[in-house]
Amino acid sequence: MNTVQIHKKKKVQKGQIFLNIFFILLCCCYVIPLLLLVSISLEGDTNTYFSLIPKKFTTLGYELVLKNPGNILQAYGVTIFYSVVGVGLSLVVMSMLAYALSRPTFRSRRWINFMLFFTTLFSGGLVPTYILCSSYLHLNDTIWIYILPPMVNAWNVFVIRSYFKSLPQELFEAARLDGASELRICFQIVIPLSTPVLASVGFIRFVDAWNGWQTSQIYIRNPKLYSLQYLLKQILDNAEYLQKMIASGSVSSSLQFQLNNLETMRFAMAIIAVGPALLVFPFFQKYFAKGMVVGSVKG
Amino acid sequence: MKALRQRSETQSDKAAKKLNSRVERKNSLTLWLLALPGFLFMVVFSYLPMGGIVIAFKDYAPRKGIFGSPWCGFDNFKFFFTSQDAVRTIGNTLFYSISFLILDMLLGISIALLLYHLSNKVRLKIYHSILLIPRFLSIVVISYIVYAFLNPMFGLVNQWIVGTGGQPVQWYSSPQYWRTILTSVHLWQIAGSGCLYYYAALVGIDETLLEAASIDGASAWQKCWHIMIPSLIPVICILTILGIGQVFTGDLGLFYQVTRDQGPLYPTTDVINTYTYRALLNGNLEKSTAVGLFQSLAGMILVLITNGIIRKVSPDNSMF
Repeated sequence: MNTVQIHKKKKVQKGQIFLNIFFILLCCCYVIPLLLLVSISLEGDTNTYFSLIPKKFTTLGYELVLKNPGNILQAYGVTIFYSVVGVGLSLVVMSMLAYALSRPTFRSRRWINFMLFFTTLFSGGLVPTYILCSSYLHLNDTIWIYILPPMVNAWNVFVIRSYFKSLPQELFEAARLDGASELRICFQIVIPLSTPVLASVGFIRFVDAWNGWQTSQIYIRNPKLYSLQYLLKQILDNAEYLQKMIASGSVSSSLQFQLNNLETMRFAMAIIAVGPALLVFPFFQKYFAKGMVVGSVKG
Repeated sequence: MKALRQRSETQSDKAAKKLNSRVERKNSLTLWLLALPGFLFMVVFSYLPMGGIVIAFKDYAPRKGIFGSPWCGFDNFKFFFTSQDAVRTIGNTLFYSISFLILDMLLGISIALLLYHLSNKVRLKIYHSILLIPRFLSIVVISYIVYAFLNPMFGLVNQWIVGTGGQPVQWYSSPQYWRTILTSVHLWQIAGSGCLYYYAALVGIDETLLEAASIDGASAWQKCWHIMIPSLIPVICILTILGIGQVFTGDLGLFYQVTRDQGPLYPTTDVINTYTYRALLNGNLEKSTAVGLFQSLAGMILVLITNGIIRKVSPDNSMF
């Protein structure tokens, strides 16, 4: 190996070290805020600043929140239900539509495609949707408001459709010659072959459904139907809500609610609400990266 | 006999055609059956609300319904556009949207390039997984994090300020800081997911092209500038078209939730979306609709114009 090459190799190594340092510092910007959340939820010293390491360790915040877990469990139940059912139904409905649109023999596909595409350019907006859902369809204060309106998303349909088109068409022709109907081809061949794209789209939709708060704020008056994130928002926005939540439970005198513990409790609540999802979601990251295909929309 | 056979052949041909067309018709019917649920959901939840736009031109009274309420021409638009709010919200919206559009692109491209140059693939995965965390956090949780930093009494930032001998700042009533705060929060939020599009394009570059460039003695910078950046242009075009369509929209979560909807912050944080959202919550339905209609129309026109320009310049990169 001559000296030029060695010199070059050293330069490359130096570059790698620099890159790694950069990314480690960048990652700290992401990890530290999360540690801060955890730390505040465990802070026992009520007269201190927030810090990365609790000065006086306590689990009082968690105890207080879990003493009366009704609201949280309810919100968890509501959120899990509408996320799972909503995304599942949505995937079925969108796949069926995407399959029809992927078939050249389907004559109406051109104008349905155009109608779908137009929804990405123009929409009636928040208020007309609100009036439709509340005054005409009476979906407000029901679980269906989380599930029905977002059922068909044009971008998702396009992504699924282009995946269907990319499957080997000879397969379907063979099935067709054997007398399989479109219905069978759709459900028994195409959809099972398309699990990668369905998993990607489904996962992204699931995360967004899980993190939703707007729908609750606009349509839901019944606290039993609050989504998890909206409950969390209520707790951050008004202290009274949290106080009420605690007071309505059978709180023992030793765990009497104190204003000083408010912050600790808020953050304990946040951890309880976010923790499980945050531990699970990263394992599905590969689906996430795959699902964000913009280029495939064209055509 | 021959003639008879011929006749029967043409007959069976006809029969086959008839059968074929019947199968085709049946298949086409099945396809409609498959498309129908999705089609109906689209019509009900995307197209029916478009009819509701008439509310923008009405003096809406919920008791009278959409059709019973009296017309009022462009009064609702006049009300918004002649108010102080219009200048403030449109100005803020454009300021944030345009700076986000540019900064997102710069940040996304640089992080994608840096990730691409990492040679250790395991570390690459770990770094990227960490950068993606905010994509899985709801904006409510992000507002908790911002609150932990900015809480006037216990917050981390005031702690540092006091520690260095400064005066604590009442962050949630000092609008002058919020352009920086919201921009930082936004960039923190999208760094990991925003680079994905660019990174995917970089991975798609033909390896032999890069090798050939190395053999010809191209430096890392030259390869970056002459091979990698040009390969990103299609992604940049699509994201620009999509981004420009959103110029009047803005991320409601960021502007409503992270600011905790604090009135004193409105001068620098109130955007069209938060304005219409508040109008809806306060029951000003017709005004909210009018502003929403303006937003939607302006967005659509901008997308069409941008797409038109890109199609003229380089037809392959346009969206439609």
